[in-house]
Amino acid sequence: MTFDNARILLQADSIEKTFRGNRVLDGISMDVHAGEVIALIGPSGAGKSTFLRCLNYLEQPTGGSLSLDGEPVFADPLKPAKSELLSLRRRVGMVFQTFNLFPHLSVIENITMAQRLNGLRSRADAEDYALQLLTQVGVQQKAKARPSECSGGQQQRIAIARALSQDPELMLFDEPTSALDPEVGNDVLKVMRDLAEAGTTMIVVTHEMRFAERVADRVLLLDEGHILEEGSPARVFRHPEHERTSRFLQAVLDR
Amino acid sequence: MNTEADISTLFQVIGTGLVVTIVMTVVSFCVGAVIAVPVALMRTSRTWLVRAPATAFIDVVRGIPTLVWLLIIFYGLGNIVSLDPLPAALIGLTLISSAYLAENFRAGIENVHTGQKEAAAALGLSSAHQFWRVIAPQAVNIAMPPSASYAVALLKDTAIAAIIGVTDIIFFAQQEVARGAPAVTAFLIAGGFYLIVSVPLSYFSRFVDHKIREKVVVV
Repeated sequence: MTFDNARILLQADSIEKTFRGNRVLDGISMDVHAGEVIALIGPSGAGKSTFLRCLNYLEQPTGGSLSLDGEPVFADPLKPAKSELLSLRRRVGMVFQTFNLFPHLSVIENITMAQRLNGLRSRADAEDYALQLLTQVGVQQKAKARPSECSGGQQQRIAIARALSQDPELMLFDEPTSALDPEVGNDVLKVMRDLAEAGTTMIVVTHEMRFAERVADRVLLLDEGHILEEGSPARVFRHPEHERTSRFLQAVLDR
Repeated sequence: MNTEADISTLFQVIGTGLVVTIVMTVVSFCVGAVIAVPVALMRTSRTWLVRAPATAFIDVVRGIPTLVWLLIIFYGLGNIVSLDPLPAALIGLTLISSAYLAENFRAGIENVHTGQKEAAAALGLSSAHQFWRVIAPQAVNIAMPPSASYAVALLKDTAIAAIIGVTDIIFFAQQEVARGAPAVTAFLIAGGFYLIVSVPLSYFSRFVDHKIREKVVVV
C-alpha cells in the first residue's frame, strides 16, 4: 500500500463529542494522507462510529475542527453553514452498517439520484457511470432490481457504488460487514481491498482484524473516547504498547 | 307498502343520494389530503413555534364530533355568508379529513428509518432533496394503508351531513320513511348503498397495503 506521504487530505483536530453531559469523544486528532487506509478498531462504546460520523458531520462535534486539503471545512465548526455541510459531504462518501439503500428506487436509481440532483452528471452520464460502478462491485446484473430483491452482500456493494458515485476524495466505512454473514462479508471486503489497492483514501471502522491487518496502512485503537494505540498494523497487532490493547485483541481473536 | 314495486321505488329514490355521498367522500378526502401535507410538515418541524399551531389544529379538529363541526359550520358560517348544506358539509368534512390525514402523514414521515435520512445527507443532498426525494416517497408508502382505511371511515362519516340537509343517501332514506315507507327497509337499503362503495374501497385499501408491504422491506 503506497500513498503520497506529503499530502494530508483530512485533518481532524481535537474532535470532541458530548451527548447530554456524557463525553463520548475526548478530543481526537488524526491526519489522513491521500491514498491512506486507516482502520479504526476498539471495543464497542469506544466512540469509533461517533468519531467517523463526526468526519462528515452526521454527528456535529461539540468541539474541534476539520480541514480538507489544508483548508478549514467550516468557518465556525460549531455553526456549520448549509453550503459548507453539502460541500463536505459531497467530498466524503459514507457506507453504513445497515446499507441504507433507498427502498423506493431501483438499484441504478439509487446510484444515479445524487449524481443528478447534485448536478454532477447528466442523466445519461450518471447511468453510464452507475453501470460502470455496479460492474466494478460485481452487481451489474441487479441494476434494474429493487434493493429488497438483492442479498445483504449485494446491497452493501451497491451502497459502496452509491457512495463512489459522488467521486469522493475520502470514503468512510462504518462497520460495513457487521450486518452480514462472514461468507457474504468477504465479497464486500474484497471490493474494499480493490478500492484500497486503487489508491482510495479510506477510514474503516471494523471488527475484521484480518482485514485491518492486511489492508490498512495504519491502525487506530480507540478506547473510551480517545486514541489508545496507533501505528502500523504490524506494530499494533504484534507489539502493542498498552496492556489494554493486548486484552482487546485477545478478546477479539478468541471470539 | 312493501310490494316489489314499492321497494324498487325506494331503491331508486335512496339511490339518488349515492352521488352526493360519493362526491362528499371524494372531495373532502382529496382536498383534505392536500391540506394535510403542509399541516404534517409543520407538525414534524423541529421548531416549537411552527409545530404548535399544527398540533393544536389537529387536536381541536379531531376532538370535536363530526356532527358538531357540521352544525357549527352550517349555522355559524351560515350566519356570516349564505351557505348551502352541501358546501357547509364539504368544508366540515374536508377540515376533519385534513386533520386525520395530517396525522397519518406525520406518522409516515416519522416512521421512515433514520438511516434513510442519514444516507441522503451523507450523499450531500440538500435538505429539500433529502425530504422530497427520499423521505416523502417512503412516508407516503407508510401513510397509504391507514389513509385508505380512513377513506372508508370518512365515507360512513358523510352520513351525518343529512342532519344539515345535504341530499345524500340518508337524507332520501329519512324522507321516504317520513312519507310512510317502513324504516327498517329504507335504512337497510341505505346501508346497502354504503356497502356498494365501502366494500370495494376496503378491498382496495387491503390491496394497497399488500402492494406496499411487497415494495418496502423495512431494514
